Amino acid sequence: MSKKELTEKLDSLENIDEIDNMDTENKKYKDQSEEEVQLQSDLQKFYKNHFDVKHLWRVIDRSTFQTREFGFNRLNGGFTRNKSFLEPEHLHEYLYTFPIIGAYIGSLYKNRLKPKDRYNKAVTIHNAEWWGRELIFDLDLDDYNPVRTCKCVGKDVCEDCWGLMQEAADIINDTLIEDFGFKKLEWVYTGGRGYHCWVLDKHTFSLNQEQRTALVDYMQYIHDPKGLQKVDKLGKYDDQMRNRVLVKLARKMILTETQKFLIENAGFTSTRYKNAKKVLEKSQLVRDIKDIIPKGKEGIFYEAVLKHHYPRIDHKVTIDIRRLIRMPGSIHIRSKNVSQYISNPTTFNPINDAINMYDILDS
Amino acid sequence: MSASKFPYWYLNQETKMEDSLSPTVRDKLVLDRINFLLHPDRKDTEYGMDVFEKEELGRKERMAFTIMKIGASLDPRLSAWLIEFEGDLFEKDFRSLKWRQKIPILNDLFPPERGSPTWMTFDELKLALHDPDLDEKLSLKEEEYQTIQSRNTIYGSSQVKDILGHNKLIALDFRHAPEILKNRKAVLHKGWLITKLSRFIVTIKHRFENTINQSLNSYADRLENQPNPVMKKIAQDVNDLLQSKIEFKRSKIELDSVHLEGSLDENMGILPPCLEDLLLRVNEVGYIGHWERLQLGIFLKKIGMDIKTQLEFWYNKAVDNVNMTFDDFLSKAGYVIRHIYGLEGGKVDYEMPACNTIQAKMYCTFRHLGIEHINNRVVKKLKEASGGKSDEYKKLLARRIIDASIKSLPNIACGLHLELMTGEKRDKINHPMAYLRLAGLRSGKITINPVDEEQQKPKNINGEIADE
Repeated sequence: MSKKELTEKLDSLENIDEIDNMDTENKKYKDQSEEEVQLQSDLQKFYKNHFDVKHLWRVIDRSTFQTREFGFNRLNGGFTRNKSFLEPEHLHEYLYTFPIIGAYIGSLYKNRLKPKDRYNKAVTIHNAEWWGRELIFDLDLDDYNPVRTCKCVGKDVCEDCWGLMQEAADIINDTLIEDFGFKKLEWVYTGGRGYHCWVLDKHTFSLNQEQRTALVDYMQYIHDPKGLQKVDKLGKYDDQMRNRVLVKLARKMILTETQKFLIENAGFTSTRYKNAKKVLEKSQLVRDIKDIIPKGKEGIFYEAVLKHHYPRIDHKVTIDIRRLIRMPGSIHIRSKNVSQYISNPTTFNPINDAINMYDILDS
Repeated sequence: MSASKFPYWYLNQETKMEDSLSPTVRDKLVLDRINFLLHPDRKDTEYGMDVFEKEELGRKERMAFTIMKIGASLDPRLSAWLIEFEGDLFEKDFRSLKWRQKIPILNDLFPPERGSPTWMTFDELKLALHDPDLDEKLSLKEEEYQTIQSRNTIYGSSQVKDILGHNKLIALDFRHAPEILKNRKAVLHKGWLITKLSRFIVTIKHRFENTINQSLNSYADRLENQPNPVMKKIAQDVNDLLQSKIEFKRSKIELDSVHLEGSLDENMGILPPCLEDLLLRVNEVGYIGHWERLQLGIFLKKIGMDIKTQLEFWYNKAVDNVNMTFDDFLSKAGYVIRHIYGLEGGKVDYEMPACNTIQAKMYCTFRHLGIEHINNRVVKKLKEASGGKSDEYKKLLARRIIDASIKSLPNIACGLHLELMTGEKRDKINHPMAYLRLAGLRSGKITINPVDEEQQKPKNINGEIADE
């Protein structure tokens, strides 16, 4: 978009705060590098021609749109939130008017969020009445750095370490359906190195912070995942989780990890290891998996399984009732991948399946 | 689940109130109720009573309860006391009920939501889920008998039929038992927490206490926003009576008034985080809620602000004083402030509530602020923080504050906050004046006023100094 077109947009915006910011944008326009200018142009093309606001209705109810909070990260480094839009078209216009490098959805409030004007104070998330938000879980490969055994470093991803994400999604999915009885889950690949799981059952919408905290605490068996990595024991009421862990995590751990790893971490001897592999290559039964657990070392065994393979859930994302979450369909700026809905998080793999912004623009 | 009559002592049922109650009769009802709460013995009270007499006794108890709620709603400490003592009594009475008598109370405390039940027996759950083998799948078995330990050691323990239903397997909607859910103290299946009734009794008690809390909040709102002069007078009189008769637990820390050197703005760095947040909010938006105003008002008094200065503070800051003259303000909102200073009603010198009362009724930064906001707040504070030997240690403290908040440990989070800001190490903070004292002494910004020993001695229900 040219400088002239950017300036013409001033008249179409209803938001004084935005107008002030737009003026700032104009001033900064000429200071950008060529690369940034190109990126800005690409992002704006993508949002104008390839982003459909209707895709949001898969995770948020259309009737909640007007008083929903939105937040944005801009190319010039500015972050803004406390935004509401009257119509979905206005949101779309905002996305392709400004150089947006991150777009986020927040909670539902009683009133539209507005900046202050000559006659009224600002309506922000701090003074607006909170009305609810979807229950969301965040899985990120960052939290697995202490236990990744592949050769990936930093932000790299490979089939091996992505396997941890697939396992985590499997456990979370099963727990949410079987233990909590949730019926409507929507899995989203964030575009980076993780998943979001949106639980859309109506009765979860008004869960307060205490209830969300209890829910996460129930599911969370690893505390301080980047530091101490303290692992909870599976208790007397955890039979369902125990069976789930055995079938979905323990079996795979025994079949894929090295003998050295299992001896050092899971209480195996080399004889038991060989027998275990033979049995588990043919069986997925809980009783067979239980039989191969080293006798007298169940505690060490389960700790190894949980520590190395159990989902590491970002507490804050689920608990915070005013959190902003990456908008499905938006671009993840580091990878330039689209944050996309996926039908099966246990088979999705970003190396092959991610959709990149440039693939779309080039086609 | 068939509906049947409540036990006579159950307080959450409709009561026909007397059209007018003389102050003498009213005060007697309240005093009798206080005495009973302090020394509950139903067997003694209802000995020899027939059904009608028990019903009448129940009616009087409910009347007293309603009157006490109206009075207690003006003071968070009284509210917390009432909730605690009524909750304890409820738990005791509930435990002793037979199973069939417990059902209507469970129906009342856990009513259906949008047509769906929020509690049921395990047998009912099996039917609802069309899964007759659920007990086998979840390894659950209902015990018909319970083990009673004999007082006579010769006989040891014995098995008696579980008529009280404590071994009955109950399914409760997971949303209504967060403590049980987070600690995994029950089986969770399809959104239902399933375990013995005895394990749910504390949850049931908390639910009952919540109903009292909601009722207190409702009275507090009505008294503030739609003041009926008659109701207001009753509330003040009952409040004063309760203040004079109830002995509150006192902290071991000396919670005297402290004198702050310099202005409030100069001392923001040593204020307890809850009070700092409230002050900032008043400055920013000019309005905070009823209980928060009380919290801040009492605090301002305790740090040496005189009544005139405080009246001016609220008049100048509060947005709902727009178009109101100072004289109008004095007669309306000023009444509450004068009450705090003991110049109205029973002339009670209000103490600063402890953290557990603040967490239950008022505003605690680490209990009530959202996690992301705590995160942002702590990150901002890192720049001003003078505690900790290095930047790395400060960041560690910041992370620990956020972790403690996530784990619902606000007292620990506040202790860590104190260490971050001042270097003073404390495991927990249980009182905002303790925080202020510790932070202020570290910075040399406060002096402590001496204690009036006579005033500090505990008193009994008649107002006399209790025997040691």
